Amino acid sequence: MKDTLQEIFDHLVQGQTPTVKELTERALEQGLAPGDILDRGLVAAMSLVGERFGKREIYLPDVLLAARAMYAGLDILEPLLAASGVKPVAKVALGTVGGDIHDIGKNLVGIMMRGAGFEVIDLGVDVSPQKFVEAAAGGVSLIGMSALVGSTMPSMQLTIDALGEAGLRGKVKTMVGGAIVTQPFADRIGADGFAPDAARAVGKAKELLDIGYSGAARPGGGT
Amino acid sequence: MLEERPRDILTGIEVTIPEGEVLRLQGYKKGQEPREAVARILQEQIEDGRRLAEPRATYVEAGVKEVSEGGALTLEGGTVLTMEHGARVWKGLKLLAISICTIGPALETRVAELFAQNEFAPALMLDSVGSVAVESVADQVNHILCRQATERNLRAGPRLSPGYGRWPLEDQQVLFGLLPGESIGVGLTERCMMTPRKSISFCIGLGANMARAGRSDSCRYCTLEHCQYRRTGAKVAP
Repeated sequence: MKDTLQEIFDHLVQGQTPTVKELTERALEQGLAPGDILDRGLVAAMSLVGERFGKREIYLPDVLLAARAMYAGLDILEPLLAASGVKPVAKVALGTVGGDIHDIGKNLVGIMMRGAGFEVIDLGVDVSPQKFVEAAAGGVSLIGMSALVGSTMPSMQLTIDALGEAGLRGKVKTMVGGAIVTQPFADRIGADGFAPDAARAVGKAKELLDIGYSGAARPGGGT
Repeated sequence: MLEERPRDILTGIEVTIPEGEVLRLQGYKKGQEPREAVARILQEQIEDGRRLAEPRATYVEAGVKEVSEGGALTLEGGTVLTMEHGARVWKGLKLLAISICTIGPALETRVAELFAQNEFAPALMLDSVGSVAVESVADQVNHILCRQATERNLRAGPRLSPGYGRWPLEDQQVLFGLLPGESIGVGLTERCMMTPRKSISFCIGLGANMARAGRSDSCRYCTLEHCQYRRTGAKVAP
């Protein structure tokens, strides 16, 4: 018979929200630590979902159904995690750059990063370089910038320049993305990282911040 | 005078939302089927999208005075539109048809509600439904403009918009000066983005010697080689 963590893992991968919620409650009743349920159940499953998406084995709606299930579990665990002093893996600020009002891509990155254990500050759309600088000065480890329209891509350069002028370039990493943004563009403007989609943004953020996989292991001994 | 024909406002346009096109925007390739849970969301959001869309469009035609070698298009009345590839794109142009289309704000309000409720997959699906819906409105206006052109023995060129490829987005202000979007509830932000977001502005060149447009023509005049929305097979503008 499967243990509860394995069941959480399996149902989350399938995006079965009510079941994941019920199993998270059951795991707590069984005395499992909230941190273990998070790392070995929820985060481990989302990590697999991200991997499968990266390999094009599943599609974005499948990822989002899994994310919904993850949030159902996370909503139960978060107060308990905070009470027991478990900290997020890192704090990041995301925004759609100045002049651009498209928020879907930025929202998707936020969903995936929160699902991976990051604390996410959503700066919204049409975010000025100054607002990004203020967020960076406020203690985030990474600034994520999104753009959908080509004419707003220079705002990414302006933001990176503003972070430099504020003396924050060495303290905060920058990552860019969006349907029209490319790795060569990211290199040209001096961004630390580029991610082609929301799922891969998580891996890139972890790489930039030198964060390893936060879970001890997947349930059942898988990797 | 600038206007050769009066501005028209179209309402009651039928919105068409093909499932395959919605799935394409979600990353599915042709022939790939979503699993049952996703297919159900797709059906629900297409239904919601039809209910929430308030399709409206307006268009006008403007006489063209000249197109310079550098690509500047001067309309009768002196208004100038500037595109780097203009000389090639607008070759043979006699009239410029301008249109603004929208499906209104209700659908994107619902998308924001779904995101706030953590209903991520339905939110993204509905957003894609909205993109397909407003594109279908633009397609129908495009068809009307082409039909009217044919009746006058004119050919219609590709559908192009400021902000695509090398056409500066700032020319949106010029278009909105010629054709006020407020008449159908569409505004421009300071940085020339349309609100509601599910709105499209476009121009079509009309002339007896215009090259006929193909389906991927808008991509053909765009320089963004790796854009996720690029239609397969469309070559990149040099």
